[in-house]
Amino acid sequence: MIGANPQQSPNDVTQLRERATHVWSEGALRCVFERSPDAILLHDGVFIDCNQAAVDMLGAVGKDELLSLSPSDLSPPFQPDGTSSPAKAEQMIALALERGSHRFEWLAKRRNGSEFPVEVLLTAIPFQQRQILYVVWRDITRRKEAERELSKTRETRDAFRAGGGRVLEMIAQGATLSDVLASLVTLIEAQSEGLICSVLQLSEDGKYIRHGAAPNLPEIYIQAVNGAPIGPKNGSCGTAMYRGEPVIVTDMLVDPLWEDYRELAKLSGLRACWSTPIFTGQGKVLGSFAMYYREPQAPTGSEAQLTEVATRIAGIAIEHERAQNELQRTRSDLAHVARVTTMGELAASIAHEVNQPLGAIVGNADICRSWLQEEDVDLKLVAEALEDISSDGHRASQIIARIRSLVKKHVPEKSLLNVSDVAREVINLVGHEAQRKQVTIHSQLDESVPAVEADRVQLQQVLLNLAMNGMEAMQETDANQRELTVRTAMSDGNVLAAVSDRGPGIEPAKAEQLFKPFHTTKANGLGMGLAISRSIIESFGGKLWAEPNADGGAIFSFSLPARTQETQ
Amino acid sequence: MTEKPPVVIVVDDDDSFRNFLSRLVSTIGLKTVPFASAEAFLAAPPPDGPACLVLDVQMPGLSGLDLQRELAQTSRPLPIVFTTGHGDIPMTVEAMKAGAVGFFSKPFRNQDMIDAIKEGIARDRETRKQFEELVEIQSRYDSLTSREREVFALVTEGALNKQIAHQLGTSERTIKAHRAQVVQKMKADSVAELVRMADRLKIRHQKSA
Repeated sequence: MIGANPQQSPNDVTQLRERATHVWSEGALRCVFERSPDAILLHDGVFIDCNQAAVDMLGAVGKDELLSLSPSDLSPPFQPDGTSSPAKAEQMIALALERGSHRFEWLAKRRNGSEFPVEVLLTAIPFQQRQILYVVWRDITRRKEAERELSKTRETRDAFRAGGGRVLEMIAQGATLSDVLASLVTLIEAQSEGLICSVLQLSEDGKYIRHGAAPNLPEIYIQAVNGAPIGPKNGSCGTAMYRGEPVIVTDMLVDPLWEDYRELAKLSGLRACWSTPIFTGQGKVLGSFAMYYREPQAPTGSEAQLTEVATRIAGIAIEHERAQNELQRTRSDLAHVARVTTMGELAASIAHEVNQPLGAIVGNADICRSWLQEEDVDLKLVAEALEDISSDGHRASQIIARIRSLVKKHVPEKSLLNVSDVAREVINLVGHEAQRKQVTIHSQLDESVPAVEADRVQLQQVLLNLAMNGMEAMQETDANQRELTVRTAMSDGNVLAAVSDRGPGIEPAKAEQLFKPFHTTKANGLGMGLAISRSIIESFGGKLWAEPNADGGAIFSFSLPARTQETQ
Repeated sequence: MTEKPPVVIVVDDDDSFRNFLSRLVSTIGLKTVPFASAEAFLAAPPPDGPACLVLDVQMPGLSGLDLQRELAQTSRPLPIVFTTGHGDIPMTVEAMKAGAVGFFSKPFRNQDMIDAIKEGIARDRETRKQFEELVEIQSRYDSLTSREREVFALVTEGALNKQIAHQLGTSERTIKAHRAQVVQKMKADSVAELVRMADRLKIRHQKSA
């Protein structure tokens, strides 16, 4: 309180010093000592003095009791770092004597045995050639608690963030939407006791609810909600999606929005449901995220952040999935166009191949008719001819089926395929085209190659495209050198397929250009064949590339990861 | 001299189509000799009776048109009826220009094929007859002495005995005797027939008048 009394200006330093000395000597120090809210003790081998705060802090009966104790009575036998209290105390005292003062944390013990953390300040006071220790203890129980609380909150937040990161990673790595949403729901549920969550999707026509993920909701409830319409009075989620705003129902058994679904809520043991719509970046409703409790409950405000994270991540996941689907559809449409174009190029060969059996069918039928008009019919001959007609009919229909499978639109479907089988089918398909173009096809197919996972039609398309390109590349080659080699082999855990021609070849520097869309060297090509082929192979996790053929010409190869039996 | 029975040679890589053609040909009482490729046909001995070739345009290896060109180089090209699964105009023109009897896209009318085969065989029979006649005339001509050949050439050019005698520096009577020998050895009924034979043999008097 010394400086608190405003007085005349302190212009005479000597005068001030004198006054200060006077104040101290008048017992002011003693007053500071006694009134300090921090516990203070004087230590000179034993405790020689202490203030009231020290008595209170340590729970002693009075000053006399406290002064009769040794320092080891005021601490548990060991400190939190594992050293024994007397040994550590000695170290701390030595440091204080060496430096003049030393501040550290300490675990203290009250008289009743309870422990509490303190911050200790030791100050060495020289007195009659000795050093007396001035000991200040400050109770830091609350500070420690706050620190612990803070670090716990931090850990929880970090874990939550990391969990969110993992879910986003799953999206990026192409995990299925239901897996992504299930992980998201599980992550959110872990943040609050008794919380059950679900993500629902809105059908693309914006009318119906589609199940998304709800790993902890009863199956009966999931079944009932899946396919239900949205509307102004359709539970929490159906209404939230309909209104495009959050719908908080604190008790499902009384809220009018749940009137039609009351029984379902009872059966499922659910009471509170707070639902928030999930939007696209453009504000279109994609679905909803809901929080359920088994008891009536109103939000406390702490859920807002969880809901925001959940709806945002779920939105990204659903939009990503829809974009992927759209991309897939576009890709398969484009692949279809390319296939039809290729089949158009093959039209002459196809006509030839179909007319071959048709010619025999029509001719044999004519013969049968004229035989049957004769009086003495040799039915054995007629039967033979009919037999031939029938087998040619089957042959024609197989040719058409083969072509149809390539021309018709289809949804790509991965299955385990033998690349050599697919290559053989394609070689059959282009057999006549090869004749027409006077190309000899050599097949070097390794029958023992392991299976790959791909769509049959699309894989046929790639090989067909490579074979057609190869044949076309040899138009200027001498007829007796027009050789197309189709090879399959195993290579480094991959199945390799290579189509080599003896055409003009490719410059290595320009090889990559060939795969650009609309790059064409043909008079009537789309220039999409190789670009599409590459995207098809890449969609099956493989690679497609071009390189010069050592014998002259070019080699187009692709490799696909081999699938072992176990992964079936 | 009796004629060997005519045959239809079918060259087509499609088994079922070859079977059908054999069946069709059998309905007009003819025999078929089938081959699955042009190469196999070329490796086989040529037919010794009148024949017609039914040939597929598109085959692995030597194509039908290739085979037509190859046969055109030989002494006795066979009449060819072409078939194709899918023909185009340039292909048809090329084949017909090179003397094909017919060109049919599958499927075709059986009767059209039969007519073409019959025409082919008739053409080959005619070619064959003419070829055999030529061989016969040639062998008769080969039996003439060199003086008789000179007389033959001058007679067929329309020279009178007197002119021939003068040109060869001998008497008219000697020429008469040679001339009788020529007519007898060549089995000709008239001078007109001798002239036709000379035409076939492409004989011209070598020494200038």
